[in-house]
Amino acid sequence: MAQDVLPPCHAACPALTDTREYVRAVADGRYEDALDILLAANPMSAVCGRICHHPCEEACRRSSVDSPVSLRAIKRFVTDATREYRSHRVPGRAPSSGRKVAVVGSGPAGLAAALDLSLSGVDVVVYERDERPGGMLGATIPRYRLPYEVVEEDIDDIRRAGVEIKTGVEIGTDIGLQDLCRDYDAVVLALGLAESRSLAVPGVDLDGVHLAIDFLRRARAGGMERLNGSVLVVGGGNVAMDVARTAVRLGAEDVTAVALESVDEMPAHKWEIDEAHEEGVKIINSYGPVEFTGDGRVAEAVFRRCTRVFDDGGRFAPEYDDADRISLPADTVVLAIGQSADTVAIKGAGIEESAPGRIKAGPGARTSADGVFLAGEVMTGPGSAVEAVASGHRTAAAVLEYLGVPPAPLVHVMPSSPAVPDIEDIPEDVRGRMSRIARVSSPMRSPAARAASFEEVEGTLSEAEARKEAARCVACGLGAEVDPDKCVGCYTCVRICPYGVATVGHTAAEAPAEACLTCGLCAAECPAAAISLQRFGRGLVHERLARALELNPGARVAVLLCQNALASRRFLTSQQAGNGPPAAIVPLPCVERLAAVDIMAPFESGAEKVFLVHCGDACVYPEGRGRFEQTVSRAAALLKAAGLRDDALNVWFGRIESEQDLERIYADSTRVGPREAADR
Amino acid sequence: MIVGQQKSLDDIWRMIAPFSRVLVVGCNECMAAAHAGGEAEVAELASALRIRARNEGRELEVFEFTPKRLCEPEYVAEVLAEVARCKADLVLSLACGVGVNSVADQAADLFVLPAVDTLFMGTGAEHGVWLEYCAGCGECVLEYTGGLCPVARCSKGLMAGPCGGTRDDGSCEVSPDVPCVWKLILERATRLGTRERLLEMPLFKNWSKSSSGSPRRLVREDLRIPTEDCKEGDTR
Ligand SMILES: Cc1cc2nc3c(=O)[nH]c(=O)nc-3n(C[C@H](O)[C@H](O)[C@H](O)COP(=O)(O)OP(=O)(O)OC[C@H]3O[C@@H](n4cnc5c(N)ncnc54)[C@H](O)[C@@H]3O)c2cc1C
Ligand code: SF4
Ligand code: SF4
Ligand code: SF4
Ligand code: SF4
Repeated sequence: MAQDVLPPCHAACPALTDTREYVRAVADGRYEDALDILLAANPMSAVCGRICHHPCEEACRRSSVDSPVSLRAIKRFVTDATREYRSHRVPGRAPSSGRKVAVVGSGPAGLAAALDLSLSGVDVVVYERDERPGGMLGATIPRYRLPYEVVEEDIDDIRRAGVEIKTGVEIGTDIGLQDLCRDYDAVVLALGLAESRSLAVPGVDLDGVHLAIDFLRRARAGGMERLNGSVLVVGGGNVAMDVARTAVRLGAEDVTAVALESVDEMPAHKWEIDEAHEEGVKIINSYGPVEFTGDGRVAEAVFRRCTRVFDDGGRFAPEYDDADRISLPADTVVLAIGQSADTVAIKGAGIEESAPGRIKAGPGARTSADGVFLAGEVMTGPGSAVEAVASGHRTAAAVLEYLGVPPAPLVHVMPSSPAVPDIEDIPEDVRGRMSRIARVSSPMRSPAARAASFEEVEGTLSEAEARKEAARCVACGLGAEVDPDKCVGCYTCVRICPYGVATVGHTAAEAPAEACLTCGLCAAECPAAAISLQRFGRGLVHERLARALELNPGARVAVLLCQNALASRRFLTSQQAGNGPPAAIVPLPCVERLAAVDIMAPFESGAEKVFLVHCGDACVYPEGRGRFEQTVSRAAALLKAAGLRDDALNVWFGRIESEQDLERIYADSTRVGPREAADR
Repeated sequence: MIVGQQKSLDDIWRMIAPFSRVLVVGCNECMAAAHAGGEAEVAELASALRIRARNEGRELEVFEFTPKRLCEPEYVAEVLAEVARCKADLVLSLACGVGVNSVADQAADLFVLPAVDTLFMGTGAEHGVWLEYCAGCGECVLEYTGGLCPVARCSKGLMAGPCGGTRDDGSCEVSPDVPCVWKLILERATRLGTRERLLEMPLFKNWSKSSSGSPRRLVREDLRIPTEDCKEGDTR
């Protein structure tokens, strides 16, 4: 990357997924490359495409203009669109280092660590006590959000990279940790937080009172009986929402989540709360449980008002108003108030704990025992899948260092400092000049349909939707770069930048990365050729034209095509398949950015006719349309002067919805001659 | 800056008819700022020539080169090296006339042709608009006229205006596109309270210092490096 700061979406991803690049690859129609980019950072990409809490989107700079790019949905599109490719994809391993590592726990943290170690030539065995690998992803996250086949897709990849997974083996009971320490050069404990916390209130032992993890685990395995009557969920986090929505699907007539926190303080993500609401879950805020009553089986729950959850220092220190109590009928109660580790794995191994059930973590993810490391939530506390992956990467790096094995080139090396500098927000005056473009989100089934079964609630973007959404990304940070040696200070860039970004400094023009929207109009018009656009290099047109001509030698028609005008990659790849039209198709990230000389290039190569396909209404830079039209007129005038016919250059303003109209152009490209003026 | 404009492709085509290996040479200074001959315009012209040649079935090789400027001997040396490299038989200059002269002066056996009409000294007032602001008259009168040049900006070059032809909208009777500079001069002097200064303007202007005299040259003995062969006449 040319700059040392990242786009904020990239920097915000705990695993530092190169968001901008996979989105660009989707726009290019390079879905397989997009998958490679995703997997390079996050081996659980299919999973994360479904359930990631997507901090990347929260950070996306479009948020301040309209709404963030649907990065998670695009990621999901990529993993779904490339299953076939992925099934043949075998990541290359470094030659064997002769070292062996055992990983305990097959959640995202353990798997990510195992993958990095295996790629680096370490022999890795993952021990998992469950019958199937995946940790919480496969065991408790409800099926309606994450089908297990998706978890398997990611795990298959990891297996193909040489990781062996042994399920049904519990460390600490079936095999002692000491045995692992003896048989392996290092051990990674990625135990997760397997247990739900309980409450010290009267009645928790009554029948019908469950712990969330247990409940979800049984529900996921299909072992949870149908529910009826009222279900009370105690808790206001994401797990509580999963429990509540699962209860709805198990047949409960009335599901209420009672949260200690106020609406604004609830730890659950807003979208989880919204989806639960839509499915009929009620939420009562600011009450905490006092007791559960009933005759053998729970029948009622009593709550008191919580007046304050956190103290001034932000620590959890609830205060109550005992006078304000409510009783609610409850046929079933599920406690979803937090998780703790099950540390049976270290039983008798003499590993230091900082508190009972809390394994002490030192620098470099080390435990007190030599060669025993920690990864994932058992070390970091509760978080998300992608954070667990990031933790796994970091621990793998520490283990490799311990073993003296260099990380293989494929290993995703995380910086030691979690804070990565990123380009700041789009400045306000620039924002004000940008067009608002509607976000395309994943399709959701209707709430009623969702509530009726455990089938997946969300769908995958269609190719057209994914492409349309990818086009909204402005590739932050890949904007104009001015060569100060060439700049003559003519102010052209300043005068034409539609967003008021370019300025002329003392020595030369500047387009500050945090402000530039990477439209490239200035680069197209700089008379000194001093501006290059990182997103769209000067040589790109020639490069792609040369490739198109190679595929289609002697083509008499060339199509310079904004790839955002395409609902599918059919036209981007048809030539490769050899069944395309007899035209040199040159897909480009944008045609507004073309200079007159770029438009003329195909004629130099012998084309008799050139179609310029602009993405029309799909364009993220409608502000540049006027300049584009002027550039086209300039090119047309030059071409005319060079003796070409008036109809040699044709402009077509497309729309992603009317991709099939391109057929017309292609039909046309078979006969070179006079034609109707372009569709304008 | 010096402002210029590319000649029409037809004119250029006619000029280069006898040549088969053309090096298009630009100037990445004034002519770039004038959108007439920077690296981008060099590429455009070269492309247009290639396309026309292909269209007319003519053998023509077109090369491109854009030094920073073309108005100093050192830059010409760069161009000559490029000519040798691509075995060009013509330098087609998109620099101003100074560049063309420089090449012609230094390369006795090389053809050099202008693809730009050099126009004037002026300003790029807005994208796509350039205005003449200075005529290089050799004896600046801006001291008296409040910074607005009657020599360059009055259609008749009057040294004491306005002539009486100023239109109601303030434009010059010669062309509605030209604001009457004398009107502007007077207004400005009134605003700044410097109308008497106008009266101090010398009654006679020495036009021999302008381009109407013999070719101008400037020799600064305080700067000149004294060497054996640096004699009068070398600076031509
Ligand atoms: C209900 C629920 C919903 C969630 N929803 C989301 C979500 O939508 N998005 C998101 O990003 N994150 C979500 N998470 C969080 C995410 O699942 C965790 O962050 C992640 O799974 C933690 O990974 P881990 O590898 O640290 O631990 P885990 O996934 O918990 O894996 C630990 C593994 O270690 C195994 N293990 C433990 N002890 C032993 C032993 N002694 N021997 C052998 N094996 C052992 C366990 O069986 C388990 O398989 C959710 C979590 C829960 C509980
Ligand atoms: S617009 Fe694209 S590059 Fe910029 S923050 Fe959003 S997703 Fe990232
Ligand atoms: S358009 Fe090019 S030459 Fe002119 S100021 Fe901008 S960078 Fe410099
Ligand atoms: S690339 Fe576009 S937004 Fe950036 S400086 Fe140039 S014209 Fe402005
Ligand atoms: S009208 Fe003004 S600008 Fe025109 S000729 Fe007369 S004095 Fe000069």
